[in-house]
Amino acid sequence: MKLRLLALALIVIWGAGKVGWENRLAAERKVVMVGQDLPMSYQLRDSLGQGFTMAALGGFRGLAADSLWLSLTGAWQEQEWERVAALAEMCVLLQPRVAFFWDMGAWNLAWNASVAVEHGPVKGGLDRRKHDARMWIEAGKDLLERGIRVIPEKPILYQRLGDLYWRRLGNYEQAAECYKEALQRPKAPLYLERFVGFMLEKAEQDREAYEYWRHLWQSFKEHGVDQHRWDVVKEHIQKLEITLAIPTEQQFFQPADH
Amino acid sequence: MKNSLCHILAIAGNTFTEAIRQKVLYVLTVFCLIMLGGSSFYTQFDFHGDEFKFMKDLAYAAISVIGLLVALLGAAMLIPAELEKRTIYTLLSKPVRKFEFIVGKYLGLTLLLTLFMALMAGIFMLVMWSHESSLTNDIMATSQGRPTELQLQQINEFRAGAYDPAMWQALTLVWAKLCLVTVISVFFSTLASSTVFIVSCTLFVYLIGHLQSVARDFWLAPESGASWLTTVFLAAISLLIPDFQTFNLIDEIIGGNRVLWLNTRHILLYTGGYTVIALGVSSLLFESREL
Amino acid sequence: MNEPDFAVSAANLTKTFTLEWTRKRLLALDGLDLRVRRGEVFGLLGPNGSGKSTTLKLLLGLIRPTTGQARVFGQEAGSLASRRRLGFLPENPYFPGFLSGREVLNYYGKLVDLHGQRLRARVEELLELVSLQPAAGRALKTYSKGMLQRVGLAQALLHDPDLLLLDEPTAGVDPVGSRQIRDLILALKKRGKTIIFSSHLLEQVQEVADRVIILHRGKKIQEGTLDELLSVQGQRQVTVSGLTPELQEQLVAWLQNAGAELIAVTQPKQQLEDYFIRAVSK
Repeated sequence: MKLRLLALALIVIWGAGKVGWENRLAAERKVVMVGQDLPMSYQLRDSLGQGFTMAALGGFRGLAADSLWLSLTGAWQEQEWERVAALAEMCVLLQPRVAFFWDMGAWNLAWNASVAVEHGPVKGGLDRRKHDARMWIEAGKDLLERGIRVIPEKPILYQRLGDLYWRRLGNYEQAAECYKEALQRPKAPLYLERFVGFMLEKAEQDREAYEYWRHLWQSFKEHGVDQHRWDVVKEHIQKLEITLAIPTEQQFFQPADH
Repeated sequence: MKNSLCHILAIAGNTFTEAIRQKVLYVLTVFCLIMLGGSSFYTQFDFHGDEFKFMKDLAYAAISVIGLLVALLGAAMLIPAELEKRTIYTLLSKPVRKFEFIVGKYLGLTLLLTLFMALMAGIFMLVMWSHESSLTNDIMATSQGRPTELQLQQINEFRAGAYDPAMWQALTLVWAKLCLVTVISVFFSTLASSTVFIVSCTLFVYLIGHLQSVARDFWLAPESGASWLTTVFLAAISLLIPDFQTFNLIDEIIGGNRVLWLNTRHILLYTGGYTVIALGVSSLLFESREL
Repeated sequence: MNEPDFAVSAANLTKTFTLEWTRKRLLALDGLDLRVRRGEVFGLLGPNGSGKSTTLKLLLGLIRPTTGQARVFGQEAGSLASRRRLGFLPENPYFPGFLSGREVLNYYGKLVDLHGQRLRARVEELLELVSLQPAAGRALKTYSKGMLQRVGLAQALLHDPDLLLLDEPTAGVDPVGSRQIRDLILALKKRGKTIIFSSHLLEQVQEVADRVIILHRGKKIQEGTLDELLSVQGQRQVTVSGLTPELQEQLVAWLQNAGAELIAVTQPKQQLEDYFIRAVSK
């Protein structure tokens, strides 16, 4: 009996201490999961079945999201765009810190869904089709923008948003801004440096583009052949100097350099 | 002191050799291997290299679930058998303390769990590395050894996915989580001799443990307005049950987010503290139990 | 501190079990007084459920007495010090079947703090003692019941204890094995060991025990040396050869005249066990 009381006392004393410890660990966890909505929102609990919720709670959230993604792939093949959108929402709810779901979810909406309703066998006049296509693009854009708020530290979603502005909306200025944002994040692909320049040219901001290319060239001392593709940069500088009618003596590359 | 250590190690060694003779272990191992092999199922889809996330999710789930069964069944099968076949009488007629029996059993089962996980992790890494090299080789072949900038970036992404050192961090956390399950199952096996009882109690604690943080937050909230009965209930859960949500960093790591080893160490420390207390309480209860 | 005279002493040892669900109380042992001298072979007799196993468990400290106290060489029963000096053979001992006889003795040897060379030497010595050396490398699941019993005896002897507790040492063992065990008990007695064993097979007790107690429903109903318990007071038995019927008639008449009462004239018989042993050892 004495031993059992001792055991009980041990449990209670430990319990009182451990609660504080668990709170500290939970605080640490929230720091790691910046931007993640904890505890899980009630919306999520409602939208998923009971068993699913348990799995999600039991540390199998990733697997749950993955299987939802596989059904999204099925919905895409059957061109059920509303279902694709709903499933993408669930994936990003389950794993908001996984860029893949935001990225590919948005691509499905802004490209696949949008192109399908515009050119596919859907009834309605041209205006209606254009309106629907535009709506899906906006949905994709919205998904990417929300994703950026959750994962602001990675370049990928900015890059995708830039792609969307460029290819789906034709807003080259905004696209350039997005690529610039992406480049400020670690591990951004280097070709985005040139994308900024291309976008500025496409936006017919030749002066800004020229300044940008020159700045890009000057920000590096070495200009050997590498992933920066200095030949392309040089080519664009020289092309813009002709367009902008820059006098020879003011040109960036003087014959003396070579 | 030295004698105690020798006793514990002898019992741990015997527990381990006995455990690896259990047929159910081999069934579980084969099952886990099938699931790991199944992770290459995702490679049929084109995920632009992101299939590593899917492969990892499935593999970690497989290792977690099967590992959970290994952790659950080990103590729940071996400790009642020791009582039922009365080998414990022989054991305790020797100058062996009951706590040495408890700690020895726990260590033997942990050794089993560790080797199981090491084996599964090793096999999974091989599956993933071979997938990475086949993807990379495809690119190298199509580009005739001169990959474009985009392809180079893709190869780098494959490498980052397949050779991610954070995977070991996630595996360490899964291991710690399962060690905690083992000690809980050892705890319940000092209270009762029915395998079904031990398994269901441990599973119950495991499931409630994932909700413990919710109960704790609610209990500690200054203006929860709960009735005293609810408060007592929430307090009991918060005080008695470990917070399994702590291990949810596994999700973050697989999701590709950096988690500091410092945080991992804190979690290991917490698990260690819980283990020591649980083994102590188990020993006290076992000491007072008549056999 | 001088060693107490008794290997085991218990006063008013009582054990009641409370059944888990009905809360019914079960009296397993009722006020047992027990004194076993050093060097004695002591038998605990009684039918199943009479309290023999309960007594042994109390002496091992596996259960605690409800009232009373048991001491082993003056130490509290179940204490580490008491367990260092006793060896226990459980009823129908079970060992992990995949281990060999040698491995299981090595395992238990570590638990009685034997190591290295001393452990190995002791294990071989015991395998020899219980004549298991030829089978020592085989898995225990191939062993016969008698062999398992001998492994059980060997593990009880690992740390050369002064007191041996044997729970039904010959239960389920064939006569040859049973005799081997009996001979072992006698050999150990010669080496000054105290042996307490329980049995419900009375003739076997008769051959080895110096003293016995008989338990029934948790109570001690008899105690004493075998001579005290078994010799019939006021009677004598004479065994002769060459007794013809006429001679027998004369003898009976003479006895009756002298005032003695004839109870029976019988023909002595061989013990079946002796007959069996002789038959199989031919």
